[in-house]
Amino acid sequence: MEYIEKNYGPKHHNHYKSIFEKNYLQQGINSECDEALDISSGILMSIYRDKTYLPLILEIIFKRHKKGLFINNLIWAFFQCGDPESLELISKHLISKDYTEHQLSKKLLSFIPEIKINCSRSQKELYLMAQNWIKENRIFLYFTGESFQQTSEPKPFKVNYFAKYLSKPVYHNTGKIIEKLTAKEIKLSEKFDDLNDSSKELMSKFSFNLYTNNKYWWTAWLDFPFEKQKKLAFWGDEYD
Amino acid sequence: MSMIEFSNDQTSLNSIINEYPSGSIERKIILTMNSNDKVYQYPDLKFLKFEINFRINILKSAKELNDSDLSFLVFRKSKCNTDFWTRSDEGGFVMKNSVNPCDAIKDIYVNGAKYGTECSTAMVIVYYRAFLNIFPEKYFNKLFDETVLMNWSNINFHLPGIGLLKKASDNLPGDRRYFKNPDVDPTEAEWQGENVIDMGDGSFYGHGLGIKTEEKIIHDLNEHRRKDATVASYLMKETGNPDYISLAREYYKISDKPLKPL
Repeated sequence: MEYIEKNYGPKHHNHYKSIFEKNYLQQGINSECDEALDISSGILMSIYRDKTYLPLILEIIFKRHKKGLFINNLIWAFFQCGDPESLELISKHLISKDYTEHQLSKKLLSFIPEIKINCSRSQKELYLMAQNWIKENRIFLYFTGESFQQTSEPKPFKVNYFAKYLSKPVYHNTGKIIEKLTAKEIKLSEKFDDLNDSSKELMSKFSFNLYTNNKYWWTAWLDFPFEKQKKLAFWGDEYD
Repeated sequence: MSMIEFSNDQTSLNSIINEYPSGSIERKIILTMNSNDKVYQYPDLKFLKFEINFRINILKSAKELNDSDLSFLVFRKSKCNTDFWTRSDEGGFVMKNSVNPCDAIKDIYVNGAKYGTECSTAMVIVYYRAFLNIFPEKYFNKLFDETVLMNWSNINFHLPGIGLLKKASDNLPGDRRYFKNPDVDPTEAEWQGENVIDMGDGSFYGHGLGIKTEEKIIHDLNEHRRKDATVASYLMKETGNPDYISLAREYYKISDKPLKPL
């Protein structure tokens, strides 16, 4: 695509928007137009993080998928914005009447626990599960950059469990906790890091539920020594 | 304590090691497995030997694919020999019903100039070829009669796990690895990363780049970053592998014969 320049300064943002919009109107006419759409989407998402184009890109992904056309680069571009809003947009297609659309949305969200390609749950159930998971984890999610080039089951976002345990939001691009940690929290992070992955997940889930239901109890629990926190969180579960 | 354990076998590790020449890749695999905290568990010795043999065949297939004329082409422009394959609208290769699966895979190595694809598909081809080197052709034809080659999608049920990357405590020859290029120029999305096979001698095979050291692959990927890039490409720690135990079970179910010599 020789006519797409590689100048990504702020004043060129409109230039790439116009390339996208022109080719959006001409999509499917020829391979050149579709390639220009892929590339301009990649630039708008990975350079400018322009979330306003997410719905249109997703629409093209589903449209092309129905026709059995190439979508990998567009999916890559779509997630490059690195914002969990992308997950919310996909989740709405879980209740699509179109089977291929429903299946693709399941595939794209299959990194969410309980959303599995071959699961037999109803569309509505899957949609609600996805919505709940996104709502619960949104402020703790960070972008991993995983794609279908790298693995058959990419996880484009992961939960920062320590952040969830502390109920502190993270930067979506790095996963780092936005707020500066106190000395006590830094000590807790060392203990938390020693847990295995499933224990981290359990601990953060317990913390989230307590925080949501009763902040007073949550504060009291977080003040306990770490071992006691663990005992309460894993009561009834085995832990390391 | 040995880090390689057999459930039904009391064979000593020394006797296994001595079966392979000093300095060989086979010996390197065993020694690496044995020098780590991770415990490698096998039902018995022949399962370990199967894995070693499969890994050696991955290396052989990777080297041969690198020596073939297979070109690097993005999916949008991919090509294949239409005597054996049909190019899908996505850019993948769909095996024709009328051909023998083993001939279709071998053709990629023989008529490489008629084929062009991305690095992930090349990895899958390597796995198919390694499988074909070990299992009888008749069996291969039976299992892989509906093959589609396109990155990590449509992976055959009989090659479980090859599309996944998992945390690894050590790296072994024949592992699939991934170089990530987070600041790739979005006009060249195909350089977002490189799938490679760890050749076991400090080099890696990646389709489109060749067989190179870690530093050289990182250098090559960095050339495809955006102008204001701040993050360099890097080799991820995770590794990908077929499920060797289940493959070995398949193999020993159909054959009591020793593994094909390399």
